Parts: sequence; C-alpha cells; structure tokens
Amino acid sequence: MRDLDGLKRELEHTRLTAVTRRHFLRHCGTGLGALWLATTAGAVDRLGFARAPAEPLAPLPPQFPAKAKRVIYLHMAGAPSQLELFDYKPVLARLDGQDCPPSFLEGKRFAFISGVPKMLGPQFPFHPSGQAGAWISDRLPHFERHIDDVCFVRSMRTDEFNHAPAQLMLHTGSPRFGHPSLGSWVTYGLGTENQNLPGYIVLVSGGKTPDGGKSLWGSGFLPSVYQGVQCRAQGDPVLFLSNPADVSRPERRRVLDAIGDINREQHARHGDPETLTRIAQYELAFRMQVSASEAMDLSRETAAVHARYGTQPGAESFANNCLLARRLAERGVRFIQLYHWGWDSHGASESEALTTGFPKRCLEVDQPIGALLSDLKERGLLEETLVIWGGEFGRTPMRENRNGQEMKFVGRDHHPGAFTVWLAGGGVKPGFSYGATDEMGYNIVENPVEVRDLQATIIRLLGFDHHKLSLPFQGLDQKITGVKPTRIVREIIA
Amino acid sequence: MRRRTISLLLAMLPGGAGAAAAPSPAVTAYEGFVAPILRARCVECHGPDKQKARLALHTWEALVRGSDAGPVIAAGRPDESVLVQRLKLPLDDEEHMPPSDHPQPAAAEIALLERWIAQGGTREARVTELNLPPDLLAALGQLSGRLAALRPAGAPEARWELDDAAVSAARAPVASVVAALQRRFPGALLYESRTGTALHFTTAGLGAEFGDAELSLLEPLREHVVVLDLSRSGVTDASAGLLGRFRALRTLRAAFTRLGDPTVAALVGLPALEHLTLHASGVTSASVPNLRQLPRLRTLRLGETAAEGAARVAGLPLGPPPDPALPAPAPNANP
Ligand code: HEC
Repeated sequence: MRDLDGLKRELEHTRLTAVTRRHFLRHCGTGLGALWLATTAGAVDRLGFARAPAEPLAPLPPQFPAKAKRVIYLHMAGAPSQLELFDYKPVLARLDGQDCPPSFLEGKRFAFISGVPKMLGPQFPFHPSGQAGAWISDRLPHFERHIDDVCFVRSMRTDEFNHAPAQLMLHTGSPRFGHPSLGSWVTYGLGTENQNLPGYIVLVSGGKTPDGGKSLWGSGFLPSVYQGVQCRAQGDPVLFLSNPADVSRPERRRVLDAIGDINREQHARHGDPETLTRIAQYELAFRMQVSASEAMDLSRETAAVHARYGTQPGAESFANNCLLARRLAERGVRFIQLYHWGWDSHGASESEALTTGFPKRCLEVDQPIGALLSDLKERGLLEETLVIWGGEFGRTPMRENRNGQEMKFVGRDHHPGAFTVWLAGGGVKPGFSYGATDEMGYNIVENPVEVRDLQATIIRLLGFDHHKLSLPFQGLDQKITGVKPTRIVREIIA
Repeated sequence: MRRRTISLLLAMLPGGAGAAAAPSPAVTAYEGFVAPILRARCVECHGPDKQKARLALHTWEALVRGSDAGPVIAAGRPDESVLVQRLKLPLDDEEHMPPSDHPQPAAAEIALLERWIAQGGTREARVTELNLPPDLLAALGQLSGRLAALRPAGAPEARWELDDAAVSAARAPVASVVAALQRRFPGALLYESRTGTALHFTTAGLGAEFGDAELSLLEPLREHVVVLDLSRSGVTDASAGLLGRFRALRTLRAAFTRLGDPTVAALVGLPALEHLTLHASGVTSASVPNLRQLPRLRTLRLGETAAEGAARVAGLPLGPPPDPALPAPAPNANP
C-alpha cells in the first residue's frame, strides 16, 4: 500500500506540473498540450466549434448533412490476399508456376521474396456474382449474399510494406507513433449518441493485439478521452469496470462525488481544462458500470441469432465481436473497431498457408460478417452505418520463396502496391466496383486510391471535409490525411 | 469571406441559381470575373482565413502584392505569371492549383484570366475593352451560372459556410426547445449539420425508459425532425397521432417496439417518408394497404413481424429474405 506521504508528494508534483504547464502555455502561444486551451480560449478550430472540456463526448453535428453516422471497421490484420478473394486474375492462373517477369522485380523491395520467384495462380475458384457480376472466390458464401450492397475498391495502395507501419498508416495516417487514429478523429468531431457508453470501442479477437499495437486506436495528440476503449467478451467488458467486492454502488457514488469536489477545486486553482475532462471520464465509467455490461451481454440474444452468427458464449472470437458490434451500433456507439488476425499468408507454416490457414480464417469471418450485414439491413441501420473491411496491404502475385527456396507451403509475400477493401452502407454506392489492377494483379492500372484518399472519403461520408477535421498542433494544422495531395473518391459515394 | 462568397454569387444571380446573367459590359474585368473566379476557386486557401504559400487573393491589394516569393501576375505576360503557370500545370503535378482534390476551374475561366493579364491585368480595364473572342464572351455569359453550380444555393457544401448569425436566426424558433431537450436527453437530439435546422432524434442511448410521455415533448419540433429512431424504446400506439404529425420525417425507425397497425395508419399522410423500419414490431398484414400509400417509400423493414409475408406479396420494398443456412465451402478447393 502507498503511504500518505507518497500520495502527498504525488499531489504536490501534479500541482507543480500544472503550474509550470500553465505558465508554459501562457507564454508560448502554441505548444505541447495547448489543445484544450486552443479550443476553450476562443481560438476556435477549423471546424468553427469549441468543444467544452466538461462534455468531451457530447454529440456535435457534422459540417454537412451526412448519410453515415457511425463506422464499423473490420480490420483483417496480417493482410489477406486479394488474389484469393476479390481480385480475379485468369491470366495469372495460366502463368502459374512460371518465372516472374524481371519487370516486376526491378527496383522493388520485398519482405521475404528473393531471386526470381514463380507466379502463383489463384488458389480458389472464382465466379461472377450479384447484379453487377462482380468476381468473387468461393471462400465467402455468406458475405456474397450481400454483394449487391457492397462497394469494392480494388485499387488501394499504401507506402508501407511491413505490418506495424502499414497498420499505423491505415489507422492514423502516419507510419510513426503518436498520431490520432481515425476513430479518435471521428469521436472528436462528432462525439457520440449514447452518453452511457464510450464513443469508440475496440474489439480484438482471440486476445491478439495487431502488430501496430494499441497505438492503432490511440488518440495521439488529441485528448486521451478520444482513444479507443478496448472491450473484452468475457468478465468485465472493460478492465476494472465493476466495483471491488466490498464496494457498493452508492459507496462508489460517494467516492466519485468526493473526487469530483477535489477535482473541481483543482480546476478552480489551476484552470487546467484536462481536469474537467477527467471528471467527465469518471462519470462515464460510473454510468458504464450498468450500461456496458448490458450492451456486452451476448446471452440476451436468442438462440436463432447465435446460430446465424456462429457465436459461442464467452469466446473471444470474431463472430462474438460481430454480434457485439451490432449491439453497440444499435446503442449508438460512434466508431466500432474490430480486429481479426492470422491473415499473413506467407506459406512459412501450415497455420498461415494459403491452402490451409487462409481458408480457416475465411470460415471464421464469413458467416459473422454475413449475419452482421443482414442484421444491420434488417434493423434499418445499414443506411447510416458505414462498414469497412480490409487489411493493411495486399499480397504478391508471386509465390513466396524465402531465401530463394521453394517453400513447403503455398504463400504470398507482402505487397503494398495493390489491395482490395470493401465498404457497405453509410452512403456508399452499392453493387459497385472501383479501380483495377493489371492482368497479374500486381500494379494498379485504373483509379489508384491511396490510404489517405480512403480516409478522406470515409471522413466525407461522415459529413466532414478532411481539411477541416484538423487541429493546430506543433505549428501545423494536423489532420489524418497529412500534407500530400489527397482526393476524396467521390465516385464511390452514392 | 464566406459570407462574401455567397452574397457575391447571389448578387450575380438576379434570376436565382442557374440563371446565366452576364456581367454588364461596363463593369471592370476585375470585378466582373477575375475576383469572382478567384473567390470561388482560390480564396478558401488564399484569403483572410488561410494564406497558403503566404499568398492571399481576396482583395486587389493582396493579389497585386503576390506572395513572399514575389508578384504572381506579370502584366501583359500571362505565360510568365506564376498564377497562370500554376493553373496550367498538369493536374497530377504537386504544384498544380487548385490542388487536385478541389473543384477545378473550367478551361474558359483560365482563358479569361489569361486574356485579362495579356491586356495589362489592371484594375480599371472594362470587360468591353478586352475584345473577348466570341467563345470567351459566351463563356462569360455562363460564368455566373457555373460558379453558382459549384456551390448551388442550399447544397450541403455551401450551407456550412453560412455565418453564425444566419444559422442562429434560422434556428431561433426551435432553439430553446432543442436546448432543453438536449439537456433532458443527453446525446439524443442533434441538428443534422452545423448550419442546418433539420433535426435527428434517437433513443439509441435511452432505451425502454423513453416512452409516450417523453415523445410528446418533441411535439414542438415536429416540422424539423427528419430522422427519428425509436428502436428499442417504450413508445406505443398511444403516440400514433403524434407520429403522424411529424411531416418532415424521412426516416422512421422503430424496431423492437410495440408500435403496430394504428401507428402505420397514422403515417399514411407523411409526404417525405423514405425509410421505414418496423422490424420486430407489432404490425400485421392489416397494415399492408396503408404501407402501399406512402408516396416516397424506398426501404421498408418488416422482419420478424406478422406483416412480412403479405408485404412481400404486395411488392413493397423489403430487402432480401433472411439468410438461409449455407453449407460451408469445401475445406480446400484448388481450381
Ligand atoms: C486547398 C487549398 C488551395 C486552393 C483552393 C488553392 N491553393 Fe494555391 N496554394 C495552396 C498551397 C498549399 C500552396 C503552397 C504549396 C505550393 O506551392 O504548391 C499554394 C501555392 C500557390 C501559389 C504559389 C505561390 C508562390 O509564390 O509560390 C500560387 C500562385 C497559387 N497557389 C495560386 C492559386 C490559385 C490561382 C488558386 C485558385 C485557382 C489556388 N491557388 C487555390 C493551396 C491552395
């Protein structure tokens, strides 16, 4: 146990840092942590609104009327092969087993491929599907039922070819740590409808955190209240949410009131707006003790629902998370981020080979995604919920040959130059495909879409100009799309 | 500057949006088209709010001053004017202006600017003195229409640029009710956009505690609420009459409620209703004739109700039937 002196020292330290920080802020117009100050002291941000630090998650209207009100982002960590799912390449099938043309290799860097690899045809049969006749492999029959509601972007590209930086790039707009994630920007801009639940919830399947780590849902230089809250399928949905065994709810209320008084006194003395935010966060946690447990309780769903999703009570599975995502969407959570894992199909072992591990991954996600899309549609939520599926990059049309050797299992290397994502609902053009790769699926030949273009488009669907969803920090107007030219892909907006 | 952008466009449009009123020949070229083009295309980034590259283009003085690197206009020499050079760079050039993700000026707009610079680029030159060739004269006639189309009156992109005073004025009739309800139901009631008067209301965070008595508090907003989500709330058919008076409704969602046929009957007159969700509600096949009378209905969700079968037969816009159980694909199917 910490003794009282320790606590006193800590309090004094906090007081001193607050004073110095205040001093610092007063004397430097911009600087670290100037954020709340900037939004409270009348220096309104680019959106022309000031967020009250005492109500950091209160909902705010978007700039323009928007179709999408919330996002469910299904991230497939490890990067699923577009060539086995959505990007059909009959020519590549014919060239299966032949040497890779040198033009593919010149000046390119690969994670593992070396020497001259062989071309690798699609490992599963494809067929045209839906009214638009989009080609799709046989691995995703449940998802395929919704193909007329889905918009494929087959011409995604990224700058990064390793998992962690590529995931950071996709989620935060930068391959380096410290930038706010898309979910943080969105909750910062829009707040959230349900004041008893976090606005930004993260569900990780199988307890595996993606390579990019928790920074993928971090708030960067935005206040910490905008970071994603990781929820668990078992036990307390949020760690340490419930009261310890010997503390009752009224008792907890009294403790919170006392802490609130102290915090308000602190705020009166130092004027640090983060203090008000902290009070708001404690209060949210108190309300969440009731509402989060209800929202995360899958036993309230009928047996028929569980059968459709393929859920198992208590499992940390992607299926359970899809059902949770639907429950959270119904309850007005703004940004719901799911992670599935194990898509890194190099072929180095059986568990991740294209012919063995990969179809298992497909089985794990297909039925729950189909059920999620059905439920959202049935409940009238798909039109205002933007569902996005994709990995952090794509995979090579060449078979991976680690150290120049033929490997025991079949796999593909990382490929930042082309991959597929799909979007559904939330004002996206249904039954539509955008962009194209060459005959091998290696280079983009039509309508390339950069990661930042996708981000700008998502932000536009939510009712913002990505230039305006920005914040002055370190002398720059920071925004997720960065400084390079960015294009909203208006073609995919309905 | 935002207010000015809009009022200037309006000033050029006596006949309303789309009317092609050419500036009178007596007007100066600067006021007739140079300033309007720059205001519509460039001032967002080069104006009073932002001065990208430390260049502002919103006043004559600023335009003449140029950037820190020097003037952007070379009188009489369009090809040597940085402003024109930037406009004529290929779209994918990083230095192209305006940046490629922004609306691009039409070729005629660039040609007009070039012509003006070629003729001296002065503030005084009149449109008539530029001896515009017929094609440019025609383009000039359509310019106001085209610039207005860029930000059509009432279009989302334009509306958010209205100034605060205009927004408050428009919202004044409902503002106090909205504020009171926002306090009473945190998170539930929101304007559709930063500058509009349309409202959205959702019981997503309120659940079954929100019932008929609570809904009646929204009555003063019935002309403004365009999206009403009552799913999982405690609202019943006792509110049918009230719901029928929400004449602005585009979307009504009431999944997992006790609402039934009396409510559907009350909705019949709603002129704008496009999306109606009554999934797992109390409606029955008796509602089908009424549902067919909704003039603008585009999607209807009746899953888990006694109305679904009859509605399907009647050809109402239901989604596809619920998922059948599908067999799993073969574990390993090499083609
Ligand atoms: C979305 C914002 C944006 C819009 C709209 C925009 N610009 Fe720019 N402009 C910039 C930025 C950023 C720079 C600095 C980077 C560069 O030089 O490319 C710049 C630089 C320039 C420069 C170079 C100044 C110098 O001295 O180097 C010129 C000239 C220019 N813009 C003209 C225009 C004109 C004319 C328009 C309208 C037709 C326009 N810009 C619209 C953002 C914009």
